[in-house]
Amino acid sequence: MTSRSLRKFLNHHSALAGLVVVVFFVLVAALAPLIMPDDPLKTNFLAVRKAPSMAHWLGTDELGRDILSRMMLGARASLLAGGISVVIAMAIGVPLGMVAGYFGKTADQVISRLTDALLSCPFLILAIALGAFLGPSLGNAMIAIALSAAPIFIRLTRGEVMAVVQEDYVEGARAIGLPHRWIIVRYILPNILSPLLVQATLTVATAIIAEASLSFLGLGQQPPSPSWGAMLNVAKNFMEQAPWMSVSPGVAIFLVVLGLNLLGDGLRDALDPRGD
Amino acid sequence: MSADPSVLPEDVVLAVEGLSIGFGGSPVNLVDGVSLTVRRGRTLAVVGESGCGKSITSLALMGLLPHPPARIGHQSARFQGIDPLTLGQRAFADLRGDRLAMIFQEPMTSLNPVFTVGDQITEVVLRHKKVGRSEALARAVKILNQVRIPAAEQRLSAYPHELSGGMRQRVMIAMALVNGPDLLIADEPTTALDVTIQAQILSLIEDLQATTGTAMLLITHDLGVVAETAHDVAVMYAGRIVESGPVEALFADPQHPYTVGLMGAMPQMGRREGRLLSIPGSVPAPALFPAGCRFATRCPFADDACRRSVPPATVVTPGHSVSCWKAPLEEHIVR
Repeated sequence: MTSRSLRKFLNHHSALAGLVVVVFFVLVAALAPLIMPDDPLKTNFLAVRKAPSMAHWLGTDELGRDILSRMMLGARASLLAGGISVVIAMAIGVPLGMVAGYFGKTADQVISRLTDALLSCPFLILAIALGAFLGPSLGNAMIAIALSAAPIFIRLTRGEVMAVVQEDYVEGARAIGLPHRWIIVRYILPNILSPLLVQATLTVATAIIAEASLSFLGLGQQPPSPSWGAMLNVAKNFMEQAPWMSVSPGVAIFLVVLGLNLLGDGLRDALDPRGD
Repeated sequence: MSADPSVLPEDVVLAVEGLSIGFGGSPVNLVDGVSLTVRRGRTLAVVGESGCGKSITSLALMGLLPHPPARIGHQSARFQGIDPLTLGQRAFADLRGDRLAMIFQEPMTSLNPVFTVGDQITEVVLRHKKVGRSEALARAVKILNQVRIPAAEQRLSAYPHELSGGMRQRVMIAMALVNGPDLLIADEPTTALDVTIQAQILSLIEDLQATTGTAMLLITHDLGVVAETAHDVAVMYAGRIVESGPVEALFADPQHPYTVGLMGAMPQMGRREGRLLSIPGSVPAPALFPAGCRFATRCPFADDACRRSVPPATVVTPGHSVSCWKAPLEEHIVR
């Protein structure tokens, strides 16, 4: 990031707010074992579905477990699932998009038709179908989300590469006799990083919702390990008796996704060379 | 121009005979039967208006024209004792940037924005020469000094956006010359620069050529640039070379009506007699090229013979040849 982009980003208040929110949740997830007030798996049948109090700040769930502690550990599942699935999606999507955009012809035809087919399925439906096919576990949920998100990166990368390939400096690279591999790594990739970074940030938000949805449906994190989506799944049975059980994970998902979207929008504005 | 390229004189760096380029299914060749000879230490300027095929000719010679869709045909070509136009992708890439170099028109966009000038010059050296990084850096500094970039060593760590257009074009020239190529193809190297910088860059190219002896193929539409830098000229119209010869001969005694028209359209200092000449009409679309001389649609001297058959190259004076049925032109000018 150039100093100009950095300055633009620092002046972007909502982006900074997003960054603060995201950093807060990442810290909570990373430090969860140290800062959890209670054991998130320890049941207590004398304190079932207690409202928030000094002993349990966010209340307890249907087995008497401390919700605040479960939220903290659950943040790990959510953020890891969001982050790792996007990393896998990029590891699949970016190289395929580069091949399609750079070499064109048959490679492009095959990859683009495949991408079109995958994109014709709604993201979440595809993730649920893949998750159901692979079997319920957090790891499989990540793979399912990654495979569903990969076409987005293929298409974005392909488009960006096709634009950069037209640039004079790529022609110049050919004129000094550089091989394709070298041109792709040193001339194409660094020049398409900004839009990929923005898309990655926004896709982490989508992936977190997808993980919550899969866990809500029982396809993600398995009990007794907590995840926000799985907590919501149980909480829906007690909406009237214990509304605090659904409020905490719902608000957490809302805040993290909002933060990531604000951050992504801010990055897009800061990295856009046209805006000022 | 020699008929048999295997017995070329010593000083001929590049000789191409009958280069033709067409695109896709169109039967018309956008470049048709072009022959060029470039000699060591000399500059051949290819002059013509936009779309006459001069740029695709240079791209084809660099092996940078994607084919297909382009169809490239030629009778013979000689560079470094081989026919470059028959080389495979890989072998051609080994030639480019080493024996064969190119300067582009747009210095503002021809450098990779994310790497420093030093990175990009050393990259050319490391790609083609078996030298270490420090030796490559030393060569980069040396060539930057040669293209007269002040404080060359500090400039190595500058990014392209920190340099002006003229400086960037000097960097491009440095990149082209760092491996000491035999032939330099310059495609409108000064078009994007303002006039004072143009003059500096042209005199720089001239000086470098004098010291290194590199042959140069200069693509331009500017007769002023030709007069200033070139030794030989080939005038191109609608994909064919209509007249070629040494600069002095061609400027003193232009024989093709198109060349005469171009010179009439060139502003001159001092003398001012009425309006600048302009050639009537415009270049026809390739599908509408006449079967004979392609200039026939705009030529004041054209008759049915011109429209029917292609005029062969006729020698006016040794080295100076013209493709026109009406040559010598003096006989047709009514006073």
